[in-house]
Amino acid sequence: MLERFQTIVQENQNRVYTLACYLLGDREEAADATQEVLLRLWRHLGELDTNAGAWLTRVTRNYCFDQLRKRRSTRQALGDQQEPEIFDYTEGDDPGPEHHAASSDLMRHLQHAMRELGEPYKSVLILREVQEMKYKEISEALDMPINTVKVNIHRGRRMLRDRLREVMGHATAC
Amino acid sequence: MPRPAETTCPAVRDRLDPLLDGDLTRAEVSRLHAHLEDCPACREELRLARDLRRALRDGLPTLECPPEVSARVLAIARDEVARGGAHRATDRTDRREPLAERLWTWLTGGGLGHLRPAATLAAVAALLLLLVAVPLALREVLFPGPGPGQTAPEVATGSAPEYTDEEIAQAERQARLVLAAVAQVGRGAGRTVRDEVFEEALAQPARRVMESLQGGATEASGPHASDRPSEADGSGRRP
Repeated sequence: MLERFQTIVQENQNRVYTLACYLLGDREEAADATQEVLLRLWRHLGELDTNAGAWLTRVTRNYCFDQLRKRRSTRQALGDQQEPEIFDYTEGDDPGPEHHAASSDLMRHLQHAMRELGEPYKSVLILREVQEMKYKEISEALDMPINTVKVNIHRGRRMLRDRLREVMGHATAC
Repeated sequence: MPRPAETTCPAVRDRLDPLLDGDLTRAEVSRLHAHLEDCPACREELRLARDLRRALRDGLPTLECPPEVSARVLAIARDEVARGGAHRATDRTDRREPLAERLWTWLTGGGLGHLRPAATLAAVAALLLLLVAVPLALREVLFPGPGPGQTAPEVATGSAPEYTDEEIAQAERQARLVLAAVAQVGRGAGRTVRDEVFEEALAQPARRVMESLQGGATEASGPHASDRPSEADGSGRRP
């Protein structure tokens, strides 16, 4: 059991952490979320009959939504309407701007547009574009029909295109 | 001659992502390509769609989980296996049983189930004492009343103290801050109290006292007190 758990952790920890980072927009909270989700996997491993990757994606997403709800209610209680700073993935140990063009205007706008994107578009786009998951995998992970997954991905991309059209230096379409 | 509905600009733009994903039939692809050759605006939109995909892949990379996270998780799992608990089938944080049921399960099962009935009763009594005594003590500290033989101070009559709007707003902000902080830490603190404070500060000492009392009784009455397990194995330990 422990060996299986260790294998799943090694294979999926980055995926869980990445999803949590993009959904929560905070590295420390994402690390806490990853730890909590992996511990939940350990508690449920014996009864897990589906593929662990899909299960982890679903639990991570639900956990992050819970955290976001708590964060919102805390901010409301404090009368603080201001959103936290935009998550910048270039913080920490990741390669700097010379490796990614994150410091450019486009990347900042892209991150901002992603952050502003509603659900389920944000989740499906992260899973598809960042995690490079197949439609079928996303469908299993989110418990969503495969056609709905496709439609949501297409809509999400169109929303991003509309928001980034000017920044990307393209003429407004007819 | 008007274009067929599926090759109008809006319809073509709806099909650009399926086109890039390779989800279209050969006939649909041909129709779209024919439209794109004639329509610079839709060609621009296609280029935008391609650029966006590239930007998403370059701009939002997979992040590396800090190694201490998995190290901590694996250490907890190994520790549970080593303690023989192996692996609990259910996650206590996911339980949705009523509070009373959960409390009863905890008292009789996982939490205090390994204690003798007398020790369990002692622990429950201690908990009740805490629940009653602490609020009373706090009340005494926070709102001290007149002691025996003392008379209550005269309450000033007349106009109530006046507060400025700013003071009231500040008090409101502070109250909100406290409520938010309590809500935030409540769940974690509850678990800590249950697992650490209660178990370590109450249940374990109570267990030790009961064991020592029972051990003492055996020693006093039984002729073979020296047959008891030695202190070296911990089972005959005294507080």
